[in-house]
Amino acid sequence: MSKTLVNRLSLAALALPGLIQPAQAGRAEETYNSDFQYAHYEESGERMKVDVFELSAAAPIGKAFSVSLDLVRDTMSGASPMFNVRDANGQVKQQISGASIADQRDMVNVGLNYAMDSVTIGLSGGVSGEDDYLSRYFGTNLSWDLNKATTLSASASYAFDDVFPTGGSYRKSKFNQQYLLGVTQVVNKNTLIQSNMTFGYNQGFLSDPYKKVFVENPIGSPILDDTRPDKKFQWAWLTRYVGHFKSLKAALHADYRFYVDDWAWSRIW
Amino acid sequence: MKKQSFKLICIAFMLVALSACTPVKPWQRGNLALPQMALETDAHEAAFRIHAFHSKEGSSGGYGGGGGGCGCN
Repeated sequence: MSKTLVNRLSLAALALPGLIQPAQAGRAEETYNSDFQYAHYEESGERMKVDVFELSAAAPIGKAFSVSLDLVRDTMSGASPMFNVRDANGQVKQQISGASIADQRDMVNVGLNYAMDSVTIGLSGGVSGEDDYLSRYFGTNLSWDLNKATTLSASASYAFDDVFPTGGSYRKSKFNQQYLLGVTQVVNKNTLIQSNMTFGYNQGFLSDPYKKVFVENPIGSPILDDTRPDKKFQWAWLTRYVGHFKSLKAALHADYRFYVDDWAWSRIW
Repeated sequence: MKKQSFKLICIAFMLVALSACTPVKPWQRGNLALPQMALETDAHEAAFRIHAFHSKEGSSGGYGGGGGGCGCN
């Protein structure tokens, strides 16, 4: 087998589950590589427009280590809903902030991976800053090949965030932690399945400083600040299927994610 | 309707889970090594999509940690 094929086998079959580092480090990084992406996100009307620039690079250090660097810049502008209000006809409609929002987010992320025979350990961390928001975070992940077909993975990540709204005179903090357990299984020569479970716990200022609540028949002001609980527990279960179809020379990817939290929000997609 | 589709998904998942894993020899792993068979075929695009879910849907998790929070609204 050629070395290239061995590298590609490592990338697919070992498949470092659960990592969304823009450049997947580990055994896959046996050569230098870099990647760039530009993306544009736009909502209808005068609402948000976002331009995203993302640059990543990864390099091996010796036989077991690899490092990665990711840089992201988001530029955002437009308007955002602030609260719902009843108009003269009794219809509920959204009150929009006006096209007044303009911000830029810059993120730097670094990662280090160490690969042993059947275990890979990764460390990563970074900073993401905006005019009114600062996030500092770090995480660690582990993947363990039980055999040629089954890989277990676990990760823990922590984020320390500060909010200091434009036009406000306060600075509030929150602390997020997230833990993942997952398994990736080679089902047969054409099929891979991955199943991950994550548990998240958020503490601190979880409200949105730019959102308001309109109260009918108020005692005092009808417009109140958005006030949410200061703790949130999140649970997500992701199952992914990847199947190869020889006749089409293509792969089918299907993801099913179930999300629920103790604020009674749930999502299935 | 929603219940029915949930049942269908559960049955499909069980069928896949119940089909015993076939041992795959090293020389049979060629298809698994194809670029389109990677769990993340485009890591940048995946990161962008997950970030948008987090910002617009208020949900996160499943794909693992990594990436900082934001004041996106």
